[in-house]
Amino acid sequence: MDIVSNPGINSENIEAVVEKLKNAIGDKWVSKDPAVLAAYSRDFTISPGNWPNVVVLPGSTEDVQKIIKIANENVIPVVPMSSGFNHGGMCIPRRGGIMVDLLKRMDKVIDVDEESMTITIQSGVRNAVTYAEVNRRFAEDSGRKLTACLPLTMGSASTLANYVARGGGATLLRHGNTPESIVNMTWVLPDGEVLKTGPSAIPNVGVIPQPFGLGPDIAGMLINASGIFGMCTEMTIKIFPEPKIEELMVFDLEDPEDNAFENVIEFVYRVCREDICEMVYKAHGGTMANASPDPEVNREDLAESMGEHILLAVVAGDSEEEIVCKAERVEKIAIECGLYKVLLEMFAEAFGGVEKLGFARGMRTRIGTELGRVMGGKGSFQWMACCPKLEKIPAIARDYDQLLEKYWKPTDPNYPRKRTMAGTAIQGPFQFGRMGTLEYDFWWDPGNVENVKRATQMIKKGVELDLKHGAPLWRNMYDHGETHLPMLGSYFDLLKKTKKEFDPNNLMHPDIIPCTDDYI
Amino acid sequence: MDYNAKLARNVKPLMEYRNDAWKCVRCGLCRMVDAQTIVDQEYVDNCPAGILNKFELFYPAGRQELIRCLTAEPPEIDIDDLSDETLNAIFTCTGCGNCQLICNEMKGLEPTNAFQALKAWAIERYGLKKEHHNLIQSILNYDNPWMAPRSTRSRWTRKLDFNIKDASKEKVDILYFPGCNASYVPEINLTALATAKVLHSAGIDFGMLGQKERCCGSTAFRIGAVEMFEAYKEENIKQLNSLGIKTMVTACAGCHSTFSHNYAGRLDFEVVHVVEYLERMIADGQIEFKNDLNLKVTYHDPCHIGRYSSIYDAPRKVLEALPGVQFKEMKRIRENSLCCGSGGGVKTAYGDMALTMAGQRLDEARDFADADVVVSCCPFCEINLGEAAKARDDGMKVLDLLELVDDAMR
Repeated sequence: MDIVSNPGINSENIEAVVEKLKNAIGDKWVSKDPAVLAAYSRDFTISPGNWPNVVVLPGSTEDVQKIIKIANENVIPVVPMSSGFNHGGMCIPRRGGIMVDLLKRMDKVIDVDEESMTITIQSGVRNAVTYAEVNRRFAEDSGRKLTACLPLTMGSASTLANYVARGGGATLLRHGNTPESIVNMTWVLPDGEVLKTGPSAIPNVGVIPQPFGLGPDIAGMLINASGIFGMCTEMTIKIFPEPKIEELMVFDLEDPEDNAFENVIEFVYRVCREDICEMVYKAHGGTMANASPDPEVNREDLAESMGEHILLAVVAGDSEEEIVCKAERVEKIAIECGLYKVLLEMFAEAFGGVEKLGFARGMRTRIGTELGRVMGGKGSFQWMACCPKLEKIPAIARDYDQLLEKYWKPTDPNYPRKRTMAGTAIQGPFQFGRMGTLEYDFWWDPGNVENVKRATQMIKKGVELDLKHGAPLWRNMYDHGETHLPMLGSYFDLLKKTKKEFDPNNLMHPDIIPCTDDYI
Repeated sequence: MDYNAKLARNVKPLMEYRNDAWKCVRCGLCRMVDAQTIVDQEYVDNCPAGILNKFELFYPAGRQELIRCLTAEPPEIDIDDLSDETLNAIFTCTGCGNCQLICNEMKGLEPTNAFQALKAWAIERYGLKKEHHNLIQSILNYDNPWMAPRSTRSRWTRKLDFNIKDASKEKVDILYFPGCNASYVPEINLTALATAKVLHSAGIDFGMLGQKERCCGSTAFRIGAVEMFEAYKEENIKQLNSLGIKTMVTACAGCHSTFSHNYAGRLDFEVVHVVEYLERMIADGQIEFKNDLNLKVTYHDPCHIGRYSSIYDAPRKVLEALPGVQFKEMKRIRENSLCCGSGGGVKTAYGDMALTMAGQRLDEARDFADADVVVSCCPFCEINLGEAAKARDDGMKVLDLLELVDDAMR
């Protein structure tokens, strides 16, 4: 692997850095063994891999401070990683340097506070643990489950990293995106100093679940910054009560050829305005088919039977009456939008019985294995997401379908597209406004050179497609910044100036966001 | 092929795991217990090598990346100059099967088998770890890994007040196969004695091979000496099939797993772990318990009858049938059981690591299950956990389930 040159990356300096790091945080937690480095060189996306020069495992915020100070003294890049399970090379050390593994030793839930309804976590706390700890400490007293706003991903992914990276909190989109649930953060800045944001920055305040009102909110600058302004080591986030009962409803389209997306978005818009759904998710048959826990199930047939545009709606409440009332209303709206209700029993068998159709709940609670199966197809999986106005979704989705026709080719001829997640998903609810999130998914085979090329083209064309339709990206992803950031005018200029001021040597995760003069 | 067979027997050459290594998405679920079961942050991680070494390389996803680099063309790491740290990452895998249980269901990959292939590859290129030399030599010379003469294999039977038939001379339907640990390790002799006494008391007509019994080869296979194992097992197959037995009963999880999976399709008889046999005997009323044990116990699922063979209910049913036993589960149990840390040759080559893991398991038994006694059905677990318990000196005991059964029958 080639390591992109950087002034501090030479063998003499690296040796010096390794020694300093060992003295600072302990021999045991520093390694430059080639195989150890290789294990941090790649993720599952199409992003090209690159090796760090040294890996460190800090055990505290103080350790992270020491590491960043050493990086500064020796002019060597420093890159944060927690679980490393992201959607586009966000933890690849593009110029080598020090890889800071924030997952392994900083994995404690620090506090769950019943009064403020918050949980305070370290960087290595994973979604499944966040969910478990919130409930372990609360559920017995209140008789009600609680949850943080957890993302539509694996239980093994870092909660803090997801919040910092502006993850989509699919479990509780009704409360906004994940950053809107952040209360306090602890950051180590590029000079090694600690920055506290939120109420905890004020002496003697402690945890209160509201941002404080002193001056501008500089915390926003740190979000979605992919480590270019520092590393987050601790975070306090809000937790929310979960309804006591929920019911999954599944809808298909009367006329899938003509107005599929128009019908779906109309439905999403109306149920969101009436605030009657806990979650709405327009998947495609391949997603659901891959989600079946039954290894023997014929996923192609299952995908076929579910149709191209299957829609899941979760209604929830505290009493059966409330559920019935909401479900009736949702069904009425669905019919008016050209959707029809699918009997769960129709495909319950494929999911191991109706009770297993808690798939929806699995998605909402993010505790891992249910959604994990969706990742179980052949090859790897690439995800892109944007947040367009609802009325733009049909056109974007149709254009995306054409991209898939052109670039998606199975490496396994027995693996038809219908069995894959290749397609679009729409999710909600958002509050009232005509906005949704649109997700593009496709499979690719990372061991196949031709397939990798196709996947790379898909990403590039997907970005162009977003821009063409005026759909903003949800978060940083593989090289999107190159096309998007220059469009931002004075916003981009300020970003560049701020980066230069904060990190004059461009050591904090260089090149992950193209906002420096020496971007490669 | 059923799932358990996939986990245990289908080990191919390393190159054949290359595409799997590419397909690992680094999700990290394989290093945890089943995410759906988590209720407490203290009992989440489930990969012994990763828990103790922390670097990504020591977890399944890191090892997959290592395989990817080693099998790339050209290799991305100098395959002739692997460091001690890298070799440690390869050989500290206990082969517990947690990663494969999680990953195989979701992505169809076979990481535990791949890591077994990685060990075999490393041995081919770098030779055996020096700590494993004596063990392998001992199996080849003495048919056991304990450097003990064949003539002493059945010495433990002198403590019995009845005779056991010699299955090599006399036709029997049931062969009791104690295995090397129960035959040679004094603490584990108790398991062999208890097993023999229980079978005898229940009126089972059984025999043994005595000094002619040979190691099943499990130890050799698990440390990665796959070629040696394959040659060795052929002799065992010839010998065992010539006996004309219908059932082999063993109280060793390693022997059970090896005969059930690595010899699969080659043996002319069924292989049963004694706990399955006990469960049947209790249900049929063949066993009568007289003694109230008055113990607070928990059960440690050994990987080789747990994840490898799905024997979860039988030992629990036996425990629940014992008078005076207060049984409470630990948190990581059944499919999610935490490996004791001794498997895959780790106990021999990385004794401290094995003991640290065993200590963590005993902590869980004390803190979560409030137990005085950890019960298991595997001599490897019992040796390792027992050693850790001795070092703690806090009164915690480690016993084989058969010992409790024997006590309760007296």
